[in-house]
Amino acid sequence: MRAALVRRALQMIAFSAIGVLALITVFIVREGAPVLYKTGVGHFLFGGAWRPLEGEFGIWPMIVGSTVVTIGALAIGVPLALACAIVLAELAPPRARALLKPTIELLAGIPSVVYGFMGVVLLVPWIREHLGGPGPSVLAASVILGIMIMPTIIGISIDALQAVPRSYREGSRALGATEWQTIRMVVLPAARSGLVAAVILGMGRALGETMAVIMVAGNSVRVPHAITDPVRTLTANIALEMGYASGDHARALFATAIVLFVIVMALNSLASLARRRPRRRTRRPLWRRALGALSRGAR
Amino acid sequence: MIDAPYRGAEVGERTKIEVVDLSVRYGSSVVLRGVNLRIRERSIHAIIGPAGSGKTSLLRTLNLLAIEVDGARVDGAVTLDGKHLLLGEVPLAQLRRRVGMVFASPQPLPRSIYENLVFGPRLAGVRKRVDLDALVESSLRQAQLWDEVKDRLDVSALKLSGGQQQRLCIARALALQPEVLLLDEPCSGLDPISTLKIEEALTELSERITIVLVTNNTKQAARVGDRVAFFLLGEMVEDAPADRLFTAPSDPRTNDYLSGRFG
Ligand SMILES: Nc1ncnc2c1ncn2[C@@H]1O[C@H](COP(=O)(O)OP(=O)(O)OP(=O)(O)O)[C@@H](O)[C@H]1O
Ligand SMILES: [Mg+2]
Repeated sequence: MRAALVRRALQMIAFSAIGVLALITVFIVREGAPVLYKTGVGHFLFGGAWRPLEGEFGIWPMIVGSTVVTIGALAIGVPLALACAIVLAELAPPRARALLKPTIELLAGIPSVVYGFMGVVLLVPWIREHLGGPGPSVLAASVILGIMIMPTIIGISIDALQAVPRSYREGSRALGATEWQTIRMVVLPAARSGLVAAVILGMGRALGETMAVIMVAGNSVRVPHAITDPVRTLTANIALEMGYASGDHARALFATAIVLFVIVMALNSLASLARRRPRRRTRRPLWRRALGALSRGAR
Repeated sequence: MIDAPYRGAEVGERTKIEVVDLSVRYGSSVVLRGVNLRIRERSIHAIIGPAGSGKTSLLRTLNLLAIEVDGARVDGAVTLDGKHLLLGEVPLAQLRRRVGMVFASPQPLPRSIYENLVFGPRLAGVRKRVDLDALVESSLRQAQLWDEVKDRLDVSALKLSGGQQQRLCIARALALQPEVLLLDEPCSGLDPISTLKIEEALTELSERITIVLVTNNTKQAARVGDRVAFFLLGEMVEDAPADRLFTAPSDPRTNDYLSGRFG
């Protein structure tokens, strides 16, 4: 009786959470779709001019901006994060791991405005002085985002690495593999789907980050030509203009949100696909197998 | 099968592995203390004893896998052909190739049968396809598995049955052409036919290599062992030729164990 009640209550809560999400989706689409329709999806996505006051809505510079900043963040964050995860999960003594892993996960909870602030105070002036340009730039945003996504990637990667059965490692060590060979040839391949999921989730985080990016990216609506050029991302576009926009301008921002929404959804589904993917059958290329069969038959 | 004759003890008198006053502890718990054991070349040395008596720990010390466990401490001396293992006189990778190990539960890597077998040889520097193919075939034949898998070497090793996986792991160790083979209960959980196949394989192998066989099955120790060592609570109670240990054990505890008075 009691259990049934609790079950009911939990169900209601779960459904209302899903319901709220569905409502948000419907709302965004309803607000944004008319402008998409009016401007034409192609023109909206690939148009180079964003002049809201004259009713011209092309978000291509922002799509490019989000893309290059995210790629930059991954280029900086992923190698560092994976290296860090490998050291913590495989090489560090358990005591160090027990101390460092929660600390790193704590880093994920630092408000993004703090990261942005560090960027403004330290990174932006450094770039202006040493690399030229105005300072706020693709590079600044990539570095800050790269640092921000590291805790996420490290945390999930460590879990993925630790989920690899000890028997694989021991089997490999017993066959004469060194610790590093075992990591490279046995542990990493076995943890691959988890590592891919970690990277994709980090990517989603980079793509969705707003505050820190606004603070260090410069936000001018132009396709950047150098890493020291300022950029504006999709998220920054919405956050910067929503405060005063009205009419079609506001709807165009909702349309921007639809684009972002679709991209993030696609990434998240990719991540869960990568996680769930059954272990692939190991197989040699067809020609190799054919050769093998021939040579065995010949004997 | 039950009343199979014991094998004689006069084979291979040269010492291959010598264990002197060996103690192993994990953290604060001592799992082996004061063990002395001489393993003769080209013989099968069976190790029996109840659960938790330290048999697996002994095996894992012989190829130094034990020192890789966090918090493990190994004292005493272990020599392979007179070289002190605990002093690092044999490089680790070389040791693992010379002393192969088969674990209690089969642990193939999540790769194809072929890839499992060539994993070790490739690391050891064998590159040529023909050489690898030859190694694969001969080790599978020695492990009595060739006929069952020869047409599907590219299938995932995880798709094999338990008994086949166990023989694959034996073959994988043999592919490195080791001098010593350590086997940890290779037949636990196997049907009598698979067990028989493995025992035949071991007897044949013992003409060329030294085998240390941990087994929970005293009958098996009697069937294939040249010598048998009995372990109890981390101590080696008795080590004798198989026929003597089973017919006239010198320690009353051995007698108790064999007649089923504990475990
Ligand atoms: N990694 C480890 N850390 C701590 N204790 C361990 C570890 N491995 C084994 N032990 C302990 O060492 C003792 C001996 O274990 P071992 O596996 O050598 O016994 P065994 O004779 O092989 O037993 P079984 O017949 O059940 O396989 C046990 O009490 C076990 O709990
Ligand atoms: Mg054991």
